[in-house]
Amino acid sequence: MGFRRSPGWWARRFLRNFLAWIAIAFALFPALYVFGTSFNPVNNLATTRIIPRTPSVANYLRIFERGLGTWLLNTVKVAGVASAVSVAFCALGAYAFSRFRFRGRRAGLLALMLVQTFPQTLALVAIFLILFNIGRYAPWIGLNTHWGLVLVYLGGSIGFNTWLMKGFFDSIPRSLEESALVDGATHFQAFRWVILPLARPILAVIFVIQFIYLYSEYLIANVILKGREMYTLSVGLYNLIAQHYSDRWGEFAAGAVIGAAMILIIFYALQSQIISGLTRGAVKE
Amino acid sequence: MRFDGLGKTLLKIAFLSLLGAGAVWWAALAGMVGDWKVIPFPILGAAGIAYLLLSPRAYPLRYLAPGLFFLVVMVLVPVVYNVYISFTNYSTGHILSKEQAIEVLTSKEIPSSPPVRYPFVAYGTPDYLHVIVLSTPEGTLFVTPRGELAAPEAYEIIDADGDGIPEEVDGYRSLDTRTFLRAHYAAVQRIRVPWKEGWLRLATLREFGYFIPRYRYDPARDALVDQRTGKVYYAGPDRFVAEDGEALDPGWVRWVGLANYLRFIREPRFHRAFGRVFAWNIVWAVLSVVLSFALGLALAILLNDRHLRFRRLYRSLLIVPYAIPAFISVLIWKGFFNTNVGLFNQVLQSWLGSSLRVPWLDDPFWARFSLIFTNIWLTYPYMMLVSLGALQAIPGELYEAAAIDGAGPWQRFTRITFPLLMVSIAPLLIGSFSFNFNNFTIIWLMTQGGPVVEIGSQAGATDILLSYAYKLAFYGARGNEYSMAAVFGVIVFAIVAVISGISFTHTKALEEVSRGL
Amino acid sequence: MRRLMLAVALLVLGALAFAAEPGKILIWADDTRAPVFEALGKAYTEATGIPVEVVEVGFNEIRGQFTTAAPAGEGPDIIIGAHDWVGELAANGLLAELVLPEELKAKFDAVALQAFTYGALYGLPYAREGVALVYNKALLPEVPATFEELIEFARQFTDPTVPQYGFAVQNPDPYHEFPFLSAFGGYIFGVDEEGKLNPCDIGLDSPGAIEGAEYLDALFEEGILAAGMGWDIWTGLFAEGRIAAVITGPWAIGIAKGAGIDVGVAPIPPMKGHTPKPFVGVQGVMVSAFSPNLPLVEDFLYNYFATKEAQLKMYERDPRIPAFIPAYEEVADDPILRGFAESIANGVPMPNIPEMASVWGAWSDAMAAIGNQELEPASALKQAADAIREVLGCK
Repeated sequence: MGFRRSPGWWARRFLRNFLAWIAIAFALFPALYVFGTSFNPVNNLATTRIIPRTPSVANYLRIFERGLGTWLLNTVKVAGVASAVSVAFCALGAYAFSRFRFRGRRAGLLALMLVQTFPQTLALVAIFLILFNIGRYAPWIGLNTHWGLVLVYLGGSIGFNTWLMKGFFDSIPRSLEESALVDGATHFQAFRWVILPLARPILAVIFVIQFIYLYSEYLIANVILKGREMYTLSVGLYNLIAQHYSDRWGEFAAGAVIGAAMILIIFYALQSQIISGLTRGAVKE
Repeated sequence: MRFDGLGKTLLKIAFLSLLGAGAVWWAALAGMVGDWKVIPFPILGAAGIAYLLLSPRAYPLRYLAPGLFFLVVMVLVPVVYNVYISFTNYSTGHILSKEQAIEVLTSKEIPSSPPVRYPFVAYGTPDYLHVIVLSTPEGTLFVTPRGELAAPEAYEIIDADGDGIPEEVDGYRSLDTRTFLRAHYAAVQRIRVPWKEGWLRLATLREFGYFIPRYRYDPARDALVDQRTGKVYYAGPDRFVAEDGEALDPGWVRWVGLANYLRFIREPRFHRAFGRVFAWNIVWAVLSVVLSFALGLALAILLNDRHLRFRRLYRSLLIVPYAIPAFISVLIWKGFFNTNVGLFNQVLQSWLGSSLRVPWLDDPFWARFSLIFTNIWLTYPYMMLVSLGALQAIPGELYEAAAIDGAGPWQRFTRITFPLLMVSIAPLLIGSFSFNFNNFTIIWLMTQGGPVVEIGSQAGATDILLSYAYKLAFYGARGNEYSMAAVFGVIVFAIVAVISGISFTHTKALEEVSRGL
Repeated sequence: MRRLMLAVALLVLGALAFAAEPGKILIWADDTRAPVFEALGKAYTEATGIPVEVVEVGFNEIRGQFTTAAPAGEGPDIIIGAHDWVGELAANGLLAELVLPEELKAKFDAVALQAFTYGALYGLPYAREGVALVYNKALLPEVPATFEELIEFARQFTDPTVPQYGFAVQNPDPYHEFPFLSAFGGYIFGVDEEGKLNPCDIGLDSPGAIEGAEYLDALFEEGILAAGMGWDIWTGLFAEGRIAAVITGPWAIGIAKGAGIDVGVAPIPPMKGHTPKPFVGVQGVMVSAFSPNLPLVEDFLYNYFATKEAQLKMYERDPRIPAFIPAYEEVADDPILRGFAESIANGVPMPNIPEMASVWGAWSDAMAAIGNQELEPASALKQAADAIREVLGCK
């Protein structure tokens, strides 16, 4: 391509930025309402506007008094551990499904997907009873524990993420690890030292997706966790407005803004892993 | 450090011996505590791990086992439990076991008025309870820690002031209330001392009370007898019923076989609206997936362009909808869509005149439109993220080859990008479909299934099968019908499984496409 | 090896540590009420040495989670809740019957105790609430003696083009519209000879309910009442001084006062000489049937909770009308509180039997059809009542 930009190039460039900004406006404007409300000391949904008449940080102070700091820590702990372990397990499983040919492989893949289609809303009572029974023998992973919640999250996400990862593993050329195997590496070594580095961006994508999902999950967490100091962010926020829809709207918004900011920071930091890593991974030798 | 064959084998043997020993130890301990049901778990667990490590045929399973374990425990077991519930009568009034129901009913007491109360004093040490002495108008009663009445002669009593309350019994001093409660409450609260027509039990912190049980259980007849009226309630299939038809609450859970499924077929209120709800459910799930995927993919392609500046920032801003928990943003959208005071109608009115009022959530068509619109907003960042990842994985030389062939951008997209993308993304779309098919949260927060289609029909215009089931089960006949919710769960599960299964068979072709890479 | 031993040791310790906990009172309360119980619990522990633990559970979660947890032996001894949970929980066998000492019973509002009765007393009430006529004193200086006079006033005052309304009721909303039906003798469930609610005697299409609905329908038809007056809308209008009087509950007072409106509260005036009877909702505490601590719990509730001091603390935290009469008398000089109390003195407890769950949906549909003038009141209520009868299996 020459240095001279054709008018078409400029038009395309303008169009791209224009479209991006429209999309961003679409994405942001409801969020701006949350943002505005969080600075509005008048706690009422009816008075919600983007720019409050008398902005103040009172809502932020109050939500921290209610334990937002603890909730954030709990969330990072639960979602972080569950996502990391889940990614590890899924990578193992996906590798087996992608590279080995064994009896029941197709059936296993199908089962993995089907079992995941069961509506979780209906599984709550069973999950409660399972954790209750686990807790009788191992109270530190029973009801009202963060580790118990991690166990539930691990089970709930594995099928789908294994699928997702298997699809990506399928697109990594086999020739790379075959040469390692010829050199005398075991399958596990090939997986650990050849496949995983190549798949790092996929792992990052799945980690992010999983983390965000768990971060906003409240149905299960709400059944398992009791007491304010145990809550995760979404359970804390959910219970905050359960009975006080109109009078705690501002605090609720403040909590949401801080939570969303946390996600954005994590995503911004991980972006380079996802994008640059992937491009490198896809280059054939 | 690398282990050679021998070292590895020795390590395996050492690990497995430890594992076996641990499992046996655990099982033995469980046996000692009397928890027989637990014993198989450590043994089977250890055997399973041994098989995994020793059998070459189980090699692929070693990779699958960790994930599979959690999948079975946390996903499969709830599914099985749900199927089980659908074959029972689990509903309001039927949530206990029969033993629990008998326990609850026989622990009901007839309130005597005025209440009969006898003050007591306990004798012993903080570690040992010797005897409880009750003062009744008829004299002093000696109650053993096991709840039996004992003869006063059996005890050596010191009652120096002669007030009938001994200072010492068998050398044990009386315990103050605080010590008694802390040390012996747990044991004493279980005591029921047979007395006249009923029993004496701990009633307050300082008194025993005389109570007559309301019902007595007669195991020979499997019946409860009302102690006031003599009326007999025989155990029916799921609760105690008298001959005149009067039944006692609570009943108990029982196996009913296919009865719930037959109810679903026979009772019109369960299936009358099924077809209509199902049709909308499919439309909802398909449009949600297709449209949000289209938007997500378009944005991913847009943001994948290396010439676009700030694309890192753009990408971060575009995932904002994903970063706000759905139960918050859905409420915001619901406010926007309000027909009278919502932002959308206010804006439309200021632009196009005040007569315009779109019934966003009050009209079946618009309510459905609003829901799908909101769901696209909620879901596209996810689709964008995954597409972004998948786009990176497409080898650049394929495009170069296509450019040489003279293919335009659109052809490059339809011939290269899209087919390759589908390899990794098709399963994900199937999953997204099944998720949205049962996306209860957004429907419930936004419209609760409304607007109304017909009075008394619990299926509103935007109800999906799951929310319809929820209404039937929880605003149902008499409180909750969990078992009917479970029946719906099984039916919904079957439907989604069949649809996903059929789609799945097409992914085999995709797997072959990728083999060529 | 050490880690393995530790794990096994912990597992076994866990097995031994599990047991229901006699000797400790466990309370589930929502975040509004939990602090009061914590303070009461502390006082109780100091006096008796018995530990009291308060766990915060969202109000909407308590009923469902209690239903799952109590039979498994995981539930609390005491829950806080609303009286309309009693039927379902008691039918499930989850609640312990309470026997109040007579002298204590006399200190509670009779309607509130009635609300927690389902065959036997299953809860201790502490607060009651219900709707009344809430009016803007600047627009309506004095409450008319009859509803007809109020309508006459509204006829003069109402002008939807301004907009301003002489009178409003939140709709479609069966809870707020019930006083119209009940004034003329309408009811939800009839009462059998033993005084128990009979789920198959559905009074939604009784002549009284239909007459009341027609009275209401006429107001919609004439344009005095605006259809689709949801919470968001009428609170906005009321706060701007555009509504003179509205049927609502204590929960709306904060918004009105916040907007600087001088509000008055009075019983809803009689309609054609009949007194409207609003629903009364009662909040209170219930005790688990599986509690091993009944003697402790009763001691705690009767001697520490059912006292003027504790009830006033509850009132401070959650300012609803106390159900404990000595506490009510202490705060009754508040004219707003008194207005609501007088209104619900005419009221009936919202049915607490589990069958009520099937009523709301169909009834709400019918009220919407009446408000929108889609159906005649008689046929709308008939359809709703028939749908409920079908669900309840009553022919």
